[in-house]
Amino acid sequence: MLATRATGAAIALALGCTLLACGDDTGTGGAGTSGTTTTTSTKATSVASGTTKATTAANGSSNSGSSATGAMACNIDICTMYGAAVPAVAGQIVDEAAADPEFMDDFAPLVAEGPAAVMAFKTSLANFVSDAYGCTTDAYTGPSMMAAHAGMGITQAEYDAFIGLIAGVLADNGVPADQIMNCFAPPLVDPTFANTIIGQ
Amino acid sequence: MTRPRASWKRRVARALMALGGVLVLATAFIGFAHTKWGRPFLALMTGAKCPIGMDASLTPKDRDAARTQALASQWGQGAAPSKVAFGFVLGTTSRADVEVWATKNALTCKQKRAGNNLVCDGFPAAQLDGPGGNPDSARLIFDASDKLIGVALMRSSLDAEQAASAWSQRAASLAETFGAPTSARGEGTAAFLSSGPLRQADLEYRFADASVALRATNLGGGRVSLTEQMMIPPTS
Repeated sequence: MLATRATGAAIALALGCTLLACGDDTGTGGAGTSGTTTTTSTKATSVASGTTKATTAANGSSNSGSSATGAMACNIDICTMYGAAVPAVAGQIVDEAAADPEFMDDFAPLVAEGPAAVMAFKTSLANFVSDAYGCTTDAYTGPSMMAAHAGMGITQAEYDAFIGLIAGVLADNGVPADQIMNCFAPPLVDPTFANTIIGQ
Repeated sequence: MTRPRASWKRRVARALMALGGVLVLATAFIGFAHTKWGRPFLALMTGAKCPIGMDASLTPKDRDAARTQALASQWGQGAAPSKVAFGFVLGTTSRADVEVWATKNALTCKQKRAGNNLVCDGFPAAQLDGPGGNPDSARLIFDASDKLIGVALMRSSLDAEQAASAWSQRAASLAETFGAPTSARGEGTAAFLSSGPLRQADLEYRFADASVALRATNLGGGRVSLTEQMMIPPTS
């Protein structure tokens, strides 16, 4: 009996440990895990408004963009307006990263694997982005951001450089600056999401 | 008649205890494997590959071939007026030269992950071809023949005023060396850069044999980064 009770307690403890560890992924994962995405672009909106209420009130305009601290409310439906462009934009992000001195050595093995591998990765990234902005649910089937970047020791500077690269690709694809700032930026500059990648 | 029955019960009890023990160990391992410390073991055990192949090793020649392929769409027209990047001569400065330079300047430079590169924890401002603040990291890329082919400098924790000041100084220096940029976007002013996250100013110069970029990006939370890069094709 004692052994059975001890076994039960140990299983419960271990299960708790497992859930806690996995919960760490989703709990700090923010937009990084498809399981945490909800339904629409309101996710980006809520993050944005959560960080910039004071600025919005001060400016009284969603287009003036004079915040020193963050974005304002996103007034568009990201998925309706940009959902179809996600694969092309994700593809360009991969192409730009592979040619950027900051990331080229990380992407060289992928490029060396050939066009099919590159295309598969672009598709995976597109699915991740689509899930992250709530345009799809569970389209991304790859590892969590934490697991995908485990052992890489990505620094804040590298993350910052990658965010800069993404901002450039969005602008190159004709996304207006205010929409980049108010709709696309909030999840990317969210420290909770950044911490699923930095220092893993 | 009762003996075999008791023995059967004992066997079932033992089997259940053994099963319980296995479950405990397995669950405990699964729990550990999903912690920060356990994930690398999990990846090893499941044979999971890094999605972008960072765990794959390439020969220096193969890496250069991949770099050449990735860079193919980046080049523009005409020869670059200069291949001097922050005191180094791209295509000429060797890895050994850079290592001597790092020691002389008391910089810690380490190879980062895959590839033939060095990431240094700073960069002497005096070595910039003009003013523009202190970079807080530098990445140096070498080709298969250990020649320096790319440099990327990063200033990652500026405020908008500092970024605008550094931007104007660096942009002026680039204009003096390379002339008019191939493309320009945004404004390198404090007002523009501070106006919200991902506000970005970008200058690019694309020549047939070199590319140069200057980019300032609002990273949210009052932080603005300034990156500056110069790259040539692998020489080997």
